[in-house]
Amino acid sequence: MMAGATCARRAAALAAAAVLAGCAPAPVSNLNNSAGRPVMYQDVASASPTTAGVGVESQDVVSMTDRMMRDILATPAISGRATAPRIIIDSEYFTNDSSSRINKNTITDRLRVELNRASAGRLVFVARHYGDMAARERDAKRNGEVDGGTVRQTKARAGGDFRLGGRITSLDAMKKGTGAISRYHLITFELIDLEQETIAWSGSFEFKKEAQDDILYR
Amino acid sequence: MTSCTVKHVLRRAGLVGLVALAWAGGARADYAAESAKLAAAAPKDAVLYSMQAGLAALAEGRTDLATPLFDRALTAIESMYTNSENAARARSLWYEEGAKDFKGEPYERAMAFYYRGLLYLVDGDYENARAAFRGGILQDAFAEEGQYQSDFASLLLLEGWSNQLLGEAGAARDAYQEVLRLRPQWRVPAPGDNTLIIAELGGSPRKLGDGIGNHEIVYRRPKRTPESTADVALDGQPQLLTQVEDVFFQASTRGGRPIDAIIDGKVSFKNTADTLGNVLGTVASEGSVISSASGGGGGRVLGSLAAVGAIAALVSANVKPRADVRYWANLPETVLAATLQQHSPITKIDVALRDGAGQPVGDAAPRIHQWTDRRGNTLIWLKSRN
Repeated sequence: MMAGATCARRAAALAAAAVLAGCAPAPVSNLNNSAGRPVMYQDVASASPTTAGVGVESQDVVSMTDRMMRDILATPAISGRATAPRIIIDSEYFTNDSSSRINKNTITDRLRVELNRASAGRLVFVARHYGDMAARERDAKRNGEVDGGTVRQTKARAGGDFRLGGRITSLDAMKKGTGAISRYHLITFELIDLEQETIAWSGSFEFKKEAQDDILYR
Repeated sequence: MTSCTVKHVLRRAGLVGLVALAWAGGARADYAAESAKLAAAAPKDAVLYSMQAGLAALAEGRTDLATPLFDRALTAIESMYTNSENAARARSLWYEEGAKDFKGEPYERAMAFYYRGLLYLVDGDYENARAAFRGGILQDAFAEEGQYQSDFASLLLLEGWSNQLLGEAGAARDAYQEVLRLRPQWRVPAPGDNTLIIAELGGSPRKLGDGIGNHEIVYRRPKRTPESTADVALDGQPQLLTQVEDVFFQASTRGGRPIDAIIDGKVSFKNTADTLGNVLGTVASEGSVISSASGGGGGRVLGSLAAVGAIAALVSANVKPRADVRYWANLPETVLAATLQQHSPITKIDVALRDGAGQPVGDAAPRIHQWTDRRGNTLIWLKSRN
């Protein structure tokens, strides 16, 4: 009899514990009481530990532009010429044919800036992406609105020898049962000879990302 | 027939030619109210209210406000949630599914890409518009019922239109063939077409809870939004718009979700605990009567049984199997489209909304906007109500 009563008390205690767990405070819908997080700089060449997708991210931009820069500088037909060639690098002929939304200027700007810095005068870059900036100043000088400056005057603005072309493409795959998604990106870069319309240099960068969302979102 | 006169505001050459015109009178899409909801929303609801505020801003012609709101929503939608605290909560017995961060069902995610794509079109960024429409098509591919996967004809149409504006005729043709497979009555754009008309009619599909503890999601068509066709005339020229999308159909053909199995488990646990509580309570109650009649003992055991039964009933009451019924409340029910070639700015747009029987719909207050991008291509967008 005593043993039965003890068992009953234990069972009741266990059940009470379960109830206490079950009576955990219900979520207050508009209250997020998680601790704040201070602003922290992150390494742009590394994947984010907190947010990530299968699109083009900062570490991809850094990797691809670094690789293209090294490859261009190692190509004698471009960087080994007796007279530094003039190159136009902007996003005008660099197209996005992928399923990733992206600001293409992020890629072309970084490539141009890093290449300009690393080439140390072996390559000259034409600032075509600034539109009519130079043309307006030249007109003002010639019209007498401003003086002639201190450097020099030329008959015309610089023409380009090579210009960047390229394309971002992607292939998507998904498995509906698991919510897994995979995206393959192929990004091609080419420098086009602006006289002969030949391709003076080509490079490509490819990567594939896979991820699976939480079951709640499948 | 309601009409409005379009006053073009053409900026200097080289800038975007933007013409955003609002219909005069009637109820209005309320960006202010939606943005207030967003400001007060719990973080888990931020995506939902961002999308609603974004669409309300678009309806008011505020593309500058709508763009960052949809960007914010898409950033969350495209992120992979692998270790979220809210997700873990939503899976537990004690929290309902609505505790998770909202990303929407596939049709809602697809529509977020759809609107971001339209904003890219307005901006003349056809490449990113195409990427956005493709992103939406991919979301639709997550639909559960196999025969309905990737049948979002409006997104396919818009991908084709982006291709056409980019001068990629072959890719445009491929996309249009897909649209024709799904909507045989649709008229393929002519090669020289430079104007797209999009008409969004009706109210949002409604997501409701059903079953024990509202553990199932059912979809219902919107109430009191009877408009199903729109007679549109541009400068007096009638345009033939074809329905290319039924958003309710997209919502309701999603089929079962993997999370439903978890919610079913919660329901099963709740039922078991409830049954256990009832049985133990009954045994204790009847046992005490019998025990008293026979003059025997056993009162402690019966009392414990009663206590355990009560506890089981409490546990059952605390299990939350309710499915997530938050939904994007200002989406349209249907989308109609047409394309044409125009050589001069449109100055007058006439719109008449009709119900399924062809009768005029008087209580809608459509919003109409016309945007001409920097490349000279035009999007005419109208929404019957918000």
